[in-house]
Order: sequence, then C-alpha cells, then structure tokens
Amino acid sequence: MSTRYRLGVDVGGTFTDVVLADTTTGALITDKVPSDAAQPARAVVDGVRAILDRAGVRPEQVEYFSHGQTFALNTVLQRSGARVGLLVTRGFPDLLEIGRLRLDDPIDMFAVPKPPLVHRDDVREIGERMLADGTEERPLDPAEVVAAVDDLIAGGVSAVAVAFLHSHLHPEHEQAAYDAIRAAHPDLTVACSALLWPEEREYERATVAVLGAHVGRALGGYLEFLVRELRELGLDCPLHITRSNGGVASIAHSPDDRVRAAVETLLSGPASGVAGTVRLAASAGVDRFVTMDMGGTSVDCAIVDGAIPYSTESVLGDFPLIIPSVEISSIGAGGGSIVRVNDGGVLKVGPRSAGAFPGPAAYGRGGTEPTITDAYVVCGYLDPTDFAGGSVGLDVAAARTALLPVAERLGLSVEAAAESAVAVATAMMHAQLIPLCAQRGVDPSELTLIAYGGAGPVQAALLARTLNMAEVLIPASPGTLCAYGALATDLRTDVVAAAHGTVTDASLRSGWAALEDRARAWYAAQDHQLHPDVTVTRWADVQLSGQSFTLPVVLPAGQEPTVAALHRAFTDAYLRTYAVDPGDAVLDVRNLRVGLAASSSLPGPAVTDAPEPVSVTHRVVENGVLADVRVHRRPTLAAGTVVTGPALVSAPDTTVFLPTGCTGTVDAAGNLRIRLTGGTRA
Amino acid sequence: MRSSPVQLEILAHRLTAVVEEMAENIRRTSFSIFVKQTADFGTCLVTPQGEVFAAPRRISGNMMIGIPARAVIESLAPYRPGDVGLSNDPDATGGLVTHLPDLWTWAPLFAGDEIIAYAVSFVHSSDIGGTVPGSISWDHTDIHQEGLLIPPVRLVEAGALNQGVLDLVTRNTRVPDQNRGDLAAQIAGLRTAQRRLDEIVASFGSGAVRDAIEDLLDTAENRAGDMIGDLADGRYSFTDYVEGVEGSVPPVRLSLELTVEGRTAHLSFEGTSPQVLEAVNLHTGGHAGHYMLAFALVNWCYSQDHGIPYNSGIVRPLRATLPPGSVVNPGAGAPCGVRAAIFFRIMDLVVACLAQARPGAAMATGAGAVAIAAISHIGADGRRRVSVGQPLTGGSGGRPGRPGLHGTSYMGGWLRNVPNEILEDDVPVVVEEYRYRRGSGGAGVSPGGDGLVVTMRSRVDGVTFAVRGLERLIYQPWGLNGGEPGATGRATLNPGTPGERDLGRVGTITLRAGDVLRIETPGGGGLGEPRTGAPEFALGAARTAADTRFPQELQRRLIEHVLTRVPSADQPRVYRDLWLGLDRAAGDGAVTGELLEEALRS
Repeated sequence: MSTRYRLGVDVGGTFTDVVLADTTTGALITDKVPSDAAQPARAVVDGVRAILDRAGVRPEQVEYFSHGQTFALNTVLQRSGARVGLLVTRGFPDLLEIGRLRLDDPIDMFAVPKPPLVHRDDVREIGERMLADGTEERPLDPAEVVAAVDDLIAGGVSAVAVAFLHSHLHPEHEQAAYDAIRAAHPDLTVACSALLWPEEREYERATVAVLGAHVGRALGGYLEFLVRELRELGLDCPLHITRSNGGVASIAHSPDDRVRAAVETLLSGPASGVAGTVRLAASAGVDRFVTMDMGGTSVDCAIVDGAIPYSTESVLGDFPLIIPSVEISSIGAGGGSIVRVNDGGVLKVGPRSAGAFPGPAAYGRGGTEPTITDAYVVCGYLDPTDFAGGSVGLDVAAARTALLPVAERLGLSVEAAAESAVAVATAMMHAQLIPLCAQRGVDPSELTLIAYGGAGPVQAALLARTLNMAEVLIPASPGTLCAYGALATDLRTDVVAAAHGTVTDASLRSGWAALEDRARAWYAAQDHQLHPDVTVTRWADVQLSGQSFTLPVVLPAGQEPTVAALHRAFTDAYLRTYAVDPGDAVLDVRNLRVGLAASSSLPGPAVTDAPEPVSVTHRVVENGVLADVRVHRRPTLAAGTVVTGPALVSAPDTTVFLPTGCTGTVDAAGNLRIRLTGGTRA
Repeated sequence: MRSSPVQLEILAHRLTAVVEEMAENIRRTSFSIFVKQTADFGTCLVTPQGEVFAAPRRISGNMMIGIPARAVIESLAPYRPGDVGLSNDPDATGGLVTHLPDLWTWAPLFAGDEIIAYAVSFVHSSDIGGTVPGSISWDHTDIHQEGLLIPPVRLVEAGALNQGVLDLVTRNTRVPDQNRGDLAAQIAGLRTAQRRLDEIVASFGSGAVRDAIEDLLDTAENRAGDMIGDLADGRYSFTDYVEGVEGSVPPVRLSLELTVEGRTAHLSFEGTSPQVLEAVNLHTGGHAGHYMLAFALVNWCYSQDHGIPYNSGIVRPLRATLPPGSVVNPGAGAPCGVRAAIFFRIMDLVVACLAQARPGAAMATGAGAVAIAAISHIGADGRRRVSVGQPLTGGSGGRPGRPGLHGTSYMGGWLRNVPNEILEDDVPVVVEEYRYRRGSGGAGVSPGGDGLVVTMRSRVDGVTFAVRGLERLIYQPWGLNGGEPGATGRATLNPGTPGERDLGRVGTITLRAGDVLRIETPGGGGLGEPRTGAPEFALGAARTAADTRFPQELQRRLIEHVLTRVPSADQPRVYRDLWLGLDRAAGDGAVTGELLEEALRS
C-alpha cells in the first residue's frame, strides 16, 4: 500500500500555508503561496496542487484534508455578508445597539461606537413574550412573524435572525417563528438564537444569530466552490474545516449547518495554531507556555497552563462571541506596524500598520513607510536570501530608505534606529503580556515562549529576555504551524444548556447526559474514521449564589457528576482565579456544558533529512554594533545540533534570531530549544 | 529632555506594565464585588513629591491622574522597606480620600537605599461600617455616620503585618472577610510593584528611571499646555445645579469661572454653595489638580491625543480657587458618601467653559448622572434578596462633528448593564421595555443622544426599588450654539392608568403585584454650529424660570454672605434655612434684593 498523507491548509492575510504530513513517519513538507483576497479558495486549491506536484504525491494518497479559513471572519470584519433583519421581543428594539452598555474606551469623550450589524430599521418587534419560569405571557402569532419577514424582505433584507427573551430556556416561540418563516420563504437564511447557541444573556445570544445570518450563505458559497475544486483535483478524502474551539468538523452541507459552521469557525485561524502548538509542546515535554503567533498584522498570544485555554467572552471586531473559543489575546500589531518619531521627538511604533498591503517597504509591494519588519531587515534579523522560500525577495535597500527619515530625526545611524525600533516594539509586547499573565495568576518567568508565524521566531528571544523567561521553543516549521494544527488537531464540539440555578445530583446527571447525547450525535454525523478516540469533558458555569460573575468549572475526568464533586471543582477554580476560598456557600449553576474531542493517531512532526549543510555569514546589529554572524539553514540541522548566539537560523518559512547569550539546541522533533542567559536589558 | 527618545518610550511601556500588573493582581485577588464587577479600584506610581507618573488606562473605575498623594506620603515618613500605609480619612489625607469606603494604601519603592517612587492603590470596599450597609447614603449629615475613619497608619511595618490595625478595621465593618481580602490583595499588588521596579532598575539603572519619570511628567505637562494654549485667553463661566432632595434642601449651586491665560487654566469655584447637610460634599483638600476636579480636563486632553503620557503632568497647568467651606472644599467632618453627584456636575461645568474657550472644542451636556436601582424582595426562603438593576445612565450631549451617545456617556461609560434574562430570573419583575427613549435628545447639527426607557412590572407584592442618584429631573441637559436642550428624566408609577403618579427622584418605593415603574433617563443636549462670538446655551424653560425666581446674582450674594459672615460650623444649616426662607417668602413671585437683604440682616 502506498504511503498515506494528510493535508492542512491555513489561509492568512498575506500567505496561504500548506502542510503535507506523511502519516507513517510524521515528516512534513510545507509551502506558502500568496493569498488571493478576491477568491481565497482559489489560493487553497493552487497551494494544494503545487505541494502535491512538488512532493510527487497523488491526490488519492491524501486521506484527510483540513482547512482553516478567514473568509467568515473577514466577512464580519468587512460587514460584507447578507443584510440581516432581526426579530426581537416587543419592548427591546435596541437590543443590539444598547448591547452591554459599556463603552470600549470610556475615557475618550469623542469616541464613536460602531453601529450594530443590523440597522435599526431592519429590526421588528414581535408581540410574543415568555418569562424566565416558562410562563407564556403573550403567545406567538406566526402570521405576525411572517408579515414582519415579508416586510423586511420587501425592504431589501436577505437573511433573518430571531432572538426572543428566555428562548435559551424556552425555545418554543423561536422554533415556531422558524417554522413559519421556513414555510413562507424556503430559501431564506434563518438563524435562531436558541437553536444555534442556547445560553442566557439576550444580547450575546442574539449576536450569535445575527453573525450566523450575516455570514451563513456567503460561507456556504465559499465552501461549495472549494469542495467542487478539490474533488475535481482528485481529492476524495473527508474534508474538514477548523473551528474556533481549536478542533475541526466535517464541512457542512445543509444551509442551516452552514449558519452554524459560520458562527463556530469565526476565530478558527489562530485557534488551530494554538491547538497545533499544544500537541507539539506535549511531545516536547512542555506544558506551561505562552504561544506567540506574530505575522504581518498581529501578534497573538495564548497562555497555556497545562491545557488549551478557552474563553466564552471572546471579542471579534465589534462583537462579543460567547461560543467557546481558544482564548487568544493580541499583544501587538505585527511586523507591519509603522515606525515613526512623534512631534515630541519620541520614537513610536504603531498603532498604524501597513498591513498585508502595501506591507513593509522591504516586500516591494509599494509600501514606503518604515515598519518593524523593515527594522528586522536592516538589523539583519531576517535572512534576505531565503525568505518565504524565496517566493518573496527582501529589498534591504528599500527598508533602509524607509527608515532613513526616522534615523535622521533621532540623530542615529539607520542600523541604530532600526534596533531602537525593535527595542520599542519589544517593550510594547512586554507591557501587553505582563497584565495578561497577571490576570491568570502566572508569572512569565515560569513559562516557555513558543513562537511561530512569519515574524515570531525573529522577535521571540528578544521578548523572552525582557520577561526573564527561561526558554524559547521554535517549532520545526514555525511559519506554517496553523496549517499543521489544522491537520493534526481533534474533531471537537461544544454544547451548552442553561441550568437554572440550583442543581441536584440527579439534575446534573441528566443534564450532562442529555448534552453528551447531543455531542455524540454530532460526532456520529462527522467523517470520523480517522478520529477514533473520544474524550468527553463535562463542565459548567458556576457562581456563588448572589454573585453575578461565573467561573468555568471542569468536572475532573473520571469523577461522578455529583453536586459535591462540582463544589470541590468550583472551590479549586475559585482559589486559582481569585486566590480566595469561597467557603461552603450555595452554588448557582448557570450553564452546563459538554466538550467532545476525538483525537487521531498521527506521529509527531519529524525532521526531514536534508541534503547538505549550508552555512554562510551575515551581518547583524546588536547593541549598536555591527557584527558578522553565522546563518544556519534550518533543514540541515540534525537533532542535537547546538547553535550559539549571536546567530541566525533560517528556514524556508522564517528566520530565527539568537541574540548574544542564547544557546539553541535542536531536539529530536526538530524543535529549536533556546536557553536564555545573561542580562534582561531590553 | 534628560532621556534618549528611545529609552523614554521603552521605560514608558515598562512602567505602564508595572501598574497594569498591580491592577490585575488586585482585581484577581481582592474580594469585594465592586472590584470584580465594576472595577472600582485603582493603582498608580507616584514620585516622592506625590505626582502620579504611571497609571493604568484600561482599568475602568480608575481615576488616578491628579491624586494629591504628598500629604499621605509625608504623614508616615520616614519609611523603611516593606512599609505599607493605610487610610480612608478625607481630612487627614488632604483630599486623597473622597469617601470612606475607598481604602487607600501606599508603599515606598526603594532603589538601593533611596526611595525612588511610591506605589499607591485603593479599593472601594463593600462596607466600612456606619449607619447603613454599604456605608453610603445621601441622607448622612455627618462623616461619623459614614463608617470607621482610619487616619494614616502603618498597616505593614518593615514587612510585618500590624495585626492590631487590621483587627481594628475588620471589627468595625459588616464584611470583615472581604475587607481582609481586599487589603491583602492591595499589599500583594504593592509588593509586585517593588519587584518589577527592581528589575527595571537592574536593567536601566536608577538614574535613567528617574530621568524617564521626570521626562514623562514634563511631556504630559507640555502637551496639556499646548492644548490649553489653543484655547482663547479669557474668562469663561457657567453655573449649574445638583438638584438634590426636593423641598427639604436647596439645590446645590456649582459655579465655575475658567480663566485661560497662555498655557495655564485657572478654575475658580467662587459662588459655589457652602457645604451641605447631605452626603455629597467633595473633599479636595484645596488641591488645584485634584482628580475629581480635573477629570473632565484630563479626559479632554486624552481624547484629543491618545498618545499623551497618562500622568499628573496633565494637571500641572491647572490653578484653582476652591472656597473653604464650599461643597468643593468642605471643612472637616463633611459627609461625602455620594460625592459623585458633585463630581459629575463639575465635569459639566468644565465642558461648558471649554466650549466657550474654543468653539468646536467641546460638547453640549448630557444626562449628568449615573443612577443605580437596587431591587429587593423576600425570596422563597424568607430572606431578603437584593439585586442591582440596569444602570440608569442617559444620553450624552451632541459633540463637535458627531452626535451624542445614546443611553450612556463618558461619565458612566464603564458601567455594564445586566442582561434582562438574568434580572428577571433573579427578581420577580417583568422588564416590559429596555430601549432608547426616542426623541429625548436635543435637536441640533450634532443632536444629543437619547436617554433610556426602563419599564418594569412587579409580579408579586412587596418588590422594593431603591433608586439613588437620579438627576436632571427639573433642569434640562443644556444645548449649545443653537442646539436644543435634552428632555429631563422622569420616573412614573403605573403610566397610562388612572393611578399614574410622578415619583420624582423615587428614593424608595415598594410595588404591589401588577404595579409598573417606568424610569426615563434624560437625553443629551444638542449642539449647533460652532460660533466665534459668545456661545449660546439653551438652558430650558425650568432653568430660565428658576433664574427669574431667584436671580443668579442674588444667589451668589447669599453664598458669599454665608461663607464670609457665618461661623463655619453653622454655614450648612444657615445657608439651608436662609434659602428655604427666601423661597417661602417669594411665594408666587421672585426673590428680590430687598427680600435677600432683609433675610441677611436677621
């Protein structure tokens, strides 16, 4: 039998990354192709075709395809999806605009809040009303619903969201509204809040429905195109899509499933990177770390203290997202951040960014303003001869030209100005990361920094040094880790049900059992033959009676679902989070949740044997001094190789910078493990 | 500048990280619900001279710019490493403390043998004793009703906890465990600061850190000076009111004259009411740049330039006249629990003066208050349960080039509402409406934001609403330069029924099953075209009528008389009695000069 392969693809703003994994050896082949903003699926197909050709792999040898897209997210950020009409309970027409009332920046007198995704004129109040205890205060009149929808459609609306009060507990009215709309308009995209995500908090739940209605049809079109093209290419394996929870799901087909897929994949890009990192770190024996995914437009971090961190309070552009997502925080604007000197003569980095286009001056795409990436280039931290596999040339002269005005205003050489800009960017990331760690009660000096993305490995050791972190780990293929995560991660789903306060052993057991049934039904409907090992996690959102901030509490594996066990787990979580013992006060359980993860057996990534060692010298700037350092070509480094800073390690997808005082060792999986010693000077 | 432009930027970020980390540590480890829910706490770093040089921007309730820290620093000098000071005493701290539930702590930060800075923090504790749970009531007439007063004292001495002090504090509150937890969290936060500062000094040297601190303060001062310099030189004045409790006390008159001269701004509060027998007095210690006077100006500077270093350099260009004995500089013992009412109105005054000093610089005014409704009922277990309802914020004023915000403003913009689903699950009420109050914002080129309508129906007998802080029920939020004033707020029982009743400021009301309470918050004033001449304020009919009934110059004369001729201990009572007497004497007419002189003679 011929060798089997898995394919992972991740669509980014600048590049679409493709990883092909040999399922027997774990060996990885990676590639990057330019992203196609107009038709992102085309770059996916091109990338797949190219890597199969290069590796000499036939389409039928591919047993699994998984793909992370940013199409849904970009549709939301650009608000380019369907014009959505919203049906709400009478009395609450401003549900979306009022939101949770709080301003993003309360200090700013002149701030302009972003308008909601649904225009006020596209909201209709429906005369139904359920109460919290299930009392039907006013019945639902299906004719009223249909008339409202007819009216909205006549006004130009092409998708409808429904969010009624208390539908998370009592979904009858939403269901009846759905049925009535379906009957009258069979082809209309309809998203109901409780059917999608039955969690209390009407604004957040309505937002889920609105996002689904906005994105559902467009995502469906994107996926249809992709599936058709991949099938034509000869891929007949199961096709998967990554999700915000770090897992994957089979690509959905029905319109309602696509609405669901839309809201469950919005934050999937960085999530699969974290999932991939957790997998890779586990095999390297590291379980407490910070991920740092630095690209052209962002620096994303996740703090992993033993397990993937999840948040039910994510923010997506202007909207909250309560669906459990890998908890990722931004600590900077990425390599595209613009370097400038302000009116006071002080060196500033950002907040403006050159983004993916025109991008840094060194990319030669028309960018002329100096960016952090240009500063890396001038400092010599990026290897210009081997950047992005040679697909993008680095124009050192353009980078110098862009930085020259900054240098002149500072009265410094271009090199010194560039190094100063990098130091400022480092201090900014430091200042963002410190409070994130404090929120979780961890000290960065106890953690490893795992860096990936195009610029992460360039910046990692500099940042880790100012945080007194002991170690930096650079994965074997740092530039394509999200794509690797896509192919290596679990099938995963999360389900929720409102719990309504007081619980008993019996209600916990039956509530969790019902959720587990739903999760297992989902699993059964997936292409799951490669993901046989199912793990079910029971958790709950719990608070002390009388309080109004819940904590996510995981029932430890193997424990019986009893109130006593939940209380013990809550006490542990409370102590960990607030450093306060909650005592034996009464618990108020708001939601029960079940997470189902099904893992696949795939060997860890292995180092590909490379033909011949190459080592050249290259000039870098460090502490104001120009020095020639060695450049080690990454694929040539065998396990056990030691690299002493100052040095560069270049790989087709990025460059690793080792400052003086750092020592890197290549481990068996091809990870570069960098130990930091010496001063903490920024 | 003493620092290099690169090192200055790097140290600015590093120092900000210290205060942000302190803040997160306190938020995580403190116990009070105020801290966890509304982030009513703060942290900062100050120079040995008491100026704030680093403060977090992201923490919501944080208002640290301009805190007068010098008095508490001096109160316990000299310090040893590991000392932590504690106080909640407005008089003894020279206005650092503005009401008793705020427990302030501070610690010296050493670089070697020298104190290079102090770390300061406060937490709004859930209770510090006094006559009511939570320690805050509008009705207090004496600071001693408001709880335990802690003059500056060492809570920790050279690293050793002063158990006697801690026991004394916790024995005097209703929530000893919470207070203990909050203080422990603050001590831990202050220790974080020393540890991180040690790292910074080790990397950069104490000289460079000192230089950066001075440069950051100077930079902020210069930027703020630039912005003040952009205002036209001149004197600008405005008068507004805290309406207070109808009938029994006069409205609190707040008067500001802003004098802009080059790069300095002088805030004179002459003509402001004597301190009052309600708990709204604002202890400022007479400090010009006091955080509760300067807040609007600090925000205004930040709003124009988000890059301005966020420190007390911003308040260096400020001067102030704060008449002793007035509500903005009351004497010892003035009750102060609800001083926010005065604080909010001062923001309105500052904005009104800025609007005059530079057309297009500022907005019309907004709802001007943040009211909270506590809803209580007897639960199934026979115990009383208290829940907090929707924050009763209103629309903000129309702004240059953009409309006012609906339903909120920069005054209460950090508050989050309660999902109505959670509220209805908690309390036996049905929320019939929670929406914008359409049409309540004043018209204008930049219209005022609309207020909110919150309508609730009780499902059972005996649901009690305690509403505190409703304002602008009489005087409309003013419009500016052709903009119309916003609608006043209103609270109505059983609207649209024969039993409909205007509830005024509400206070406390108990509903029976089926009763409906509707609260409408004020809309913001509208803003018209910028004008080069004198600005034109649209104050609304009620204010115009009030000014006719009791002319401004006579009010001012009355206040001057009381503050200069009456022994200070008697001022609040004398002022109240004179005002109420004049109001009675005027009957259906107006207060006249003769009436006033007659009253002052007797």
